[in-house]
Amino acid sequence: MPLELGSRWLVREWEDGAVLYDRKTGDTHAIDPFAVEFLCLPESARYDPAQASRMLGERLGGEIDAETLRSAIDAAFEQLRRIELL
Amino acid sequence: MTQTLRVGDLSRDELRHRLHGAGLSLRSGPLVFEIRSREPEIAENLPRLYADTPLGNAAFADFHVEVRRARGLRGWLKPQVEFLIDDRSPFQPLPRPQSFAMLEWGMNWCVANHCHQYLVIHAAVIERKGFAAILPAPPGSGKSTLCAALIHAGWRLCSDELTVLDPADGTVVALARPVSLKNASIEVIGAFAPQALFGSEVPDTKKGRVSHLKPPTDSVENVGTRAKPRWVIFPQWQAGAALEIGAQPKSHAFIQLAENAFNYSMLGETGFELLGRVIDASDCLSLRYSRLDEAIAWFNCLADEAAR
Repeated sequence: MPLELGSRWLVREWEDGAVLYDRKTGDTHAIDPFAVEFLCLPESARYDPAQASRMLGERLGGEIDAETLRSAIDAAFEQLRRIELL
Repeated sequence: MTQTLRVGDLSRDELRHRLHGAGLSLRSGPLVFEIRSREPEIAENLPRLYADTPLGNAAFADFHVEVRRARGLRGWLKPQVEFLIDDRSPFQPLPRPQSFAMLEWGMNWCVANHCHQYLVIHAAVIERKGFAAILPAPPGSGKSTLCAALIHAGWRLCSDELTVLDPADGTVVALARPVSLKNASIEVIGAFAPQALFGSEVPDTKKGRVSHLKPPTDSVENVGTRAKPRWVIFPQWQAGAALEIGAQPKSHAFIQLAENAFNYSMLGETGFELLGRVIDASDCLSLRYSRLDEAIAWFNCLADEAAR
């Protein structure tokens, strides 16, 4: 079953990647699983790198160092911004 | 019990009478085409390539199509034919010797552009032991050649061009129509399957030299049997290459199928959910090959493993 993110997005996730359907535009995008995690954050956290970093760090159980996490967040934000999901 | 009347049961005169008059109604899976034409190429190839195909009920057809001589001065100097659906022509005319190929391409166009109760993908699809392998691939990848070889090695032809998926249950809807082969593939399959029956060969089409291959009788007789998608395989023929299999990321396979679909966008969320189910149920693989016998042995192993 697809994962429903809010009322706008539907996501199918596999180990090697994910696809997202945007109900607003009817477009489908391939995105990486970390970007899906990022989209699961509350909207306020998606636009606040410090909050995003703290929340995703907690979800990942503190296994990832802060620099790697911050870099992944920047990449996810950029990926989602480029396809106009943010 | 009434016996199903098939195209091959009609006499030449009866076939011509129907083609010239009210139309020859033939059933391709769930679809009925009513075909009219006075072109000799069509009267010649239809009974050969559709011999096993059941006739439709004359009272109803999904598509009313015709291939006829194009009008105009150019057509008088160099005869051309045009394809019509409901008396409208969606394409430019083609040289008259291509009339049967034009009928086939036009019938594909009808399915791709009108059957929005299904998701229709530009991909070959074959079945064995209830499981379907979907083969999306660009022209020149050897998709139709591989498909033609497999259907003469125990696999059932669903379609060499159009993968038709039913959103209601995610199964493959078979059409079992002739396989279009081009250029050297005609000789390759002629040598691989000497029993295979070809239609007339047409040189100089936009796709090169083209001939259509009759679908195996078993495939036509079992056209109503649905198949479950089990593999999405991206084939690539390469001269001299050793058989090479690679895993394809599922998200990549999903996007490839969506991009190769004619009506994915039109189906919206339904298309997304359907393709998601297909990809969930499928191993997604790339296949590079040069030898048909090696590729077929590999396909057979897949089917054996899936059936265990």
